[in-house]
Amino acid sequence: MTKKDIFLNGAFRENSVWKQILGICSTLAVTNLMLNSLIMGLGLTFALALSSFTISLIRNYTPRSVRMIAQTLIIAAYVIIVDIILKAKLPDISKQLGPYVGLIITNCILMGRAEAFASKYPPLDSLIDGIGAGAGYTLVLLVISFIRELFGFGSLFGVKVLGSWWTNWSIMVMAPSAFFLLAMLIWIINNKYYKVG
Amino acid sequence: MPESALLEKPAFPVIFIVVLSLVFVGVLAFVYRLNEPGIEKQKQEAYERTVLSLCADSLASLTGKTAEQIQSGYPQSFRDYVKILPDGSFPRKAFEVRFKGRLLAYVFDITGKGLWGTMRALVATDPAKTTVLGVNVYDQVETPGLGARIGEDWFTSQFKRKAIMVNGVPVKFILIPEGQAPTDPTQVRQVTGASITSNAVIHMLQSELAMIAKASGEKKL
Repeated sequence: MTKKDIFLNGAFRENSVWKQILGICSTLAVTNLMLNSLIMGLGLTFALALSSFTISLIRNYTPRSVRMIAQTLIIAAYVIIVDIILKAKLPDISKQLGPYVGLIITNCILMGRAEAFASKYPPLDSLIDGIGAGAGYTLVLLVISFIRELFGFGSLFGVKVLGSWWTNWSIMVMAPSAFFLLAMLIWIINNKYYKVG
Repeated sequence: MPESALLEKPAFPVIFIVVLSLVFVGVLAFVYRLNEPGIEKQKQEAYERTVLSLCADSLASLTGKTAEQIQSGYPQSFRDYVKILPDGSFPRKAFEVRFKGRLLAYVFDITGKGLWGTMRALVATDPAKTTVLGVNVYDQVETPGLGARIGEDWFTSQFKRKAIMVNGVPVKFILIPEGQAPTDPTQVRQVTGASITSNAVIHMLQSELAMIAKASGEKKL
């Protein structure tokens, strides 16, 4: 598999959200504003890529019996680094994302990629796989938050794009909209690209 | 000892995890220390902005600026109007808000017991310390979704311009349901499902302000 294939696989063909249905919790929770989604996506990509790289680096020395503890430890360390940096540099966004940054630790995408890829393949491939999967996750977040912010606030990245004639759909700001938008996205993509037979 | 023999040892997984933990704890400690000044600065800034927001209304009526202008004028407006009082002036950390030498308000950093733990709040009062000008609960560990809603604006803004002491006696407040409109200034809309926390906020305001008033009264004698 070439490096490009690894990236494309992680980001699109085997996309963690729409293909593997992982990381749904944060996809539902932080997608009412595009800026929050972008920061969340970047944070996850950073933690995922570096933890995959590290896990892969020590994979030959990791005893099988404690490998998951080791993976969680490594993931947690990178996530806490993201949290610290957000708190120091972007306090407002850190406040808005609230517990969801810390919850990246329990995001199934990270453990999923660690187990499925990083513990078997060399470090550089794992890093690319992590970036790919992170990009795929960010893409889904941005698509959902694009619709939610546009209809819910009439803005994109906080910039008003719909005029004063626009009536905000409050359902788009609330949690239920994330559920049906994500379901529709998964339905459309699976129907279009993963048709069986 | 060849490498593979070490990997086979029964104690190896334990050693591995211990070493890995130490390495990452070290990395985290380093990253945290590196960013600590930044985090502290942000916290301090948020705190000072809260102090300013509590007295912005009182300042707005005198300065000819709007409350928003005063708040967006941070940090200059904080320096212009707010003075941190030296420790010992009051039993709690206190700020003085002045415009052209005239004392407009005090802001106190008060603390009280909530349902699950200590909560901390900033409260602005008139110079006589009998009327609340604004409250902001900035640190609390109440139940998320229930008691934690004391941090919401609709709850704290109820205390604006509320007399909390009349002739040195604390006003007795009555909690009413969240959706009901108050008909009397002694009525406070409570957070639904969190009457203990709602009461705790009132209790904190009264006991802390009474204590501060008593201490400053004693000082004058």
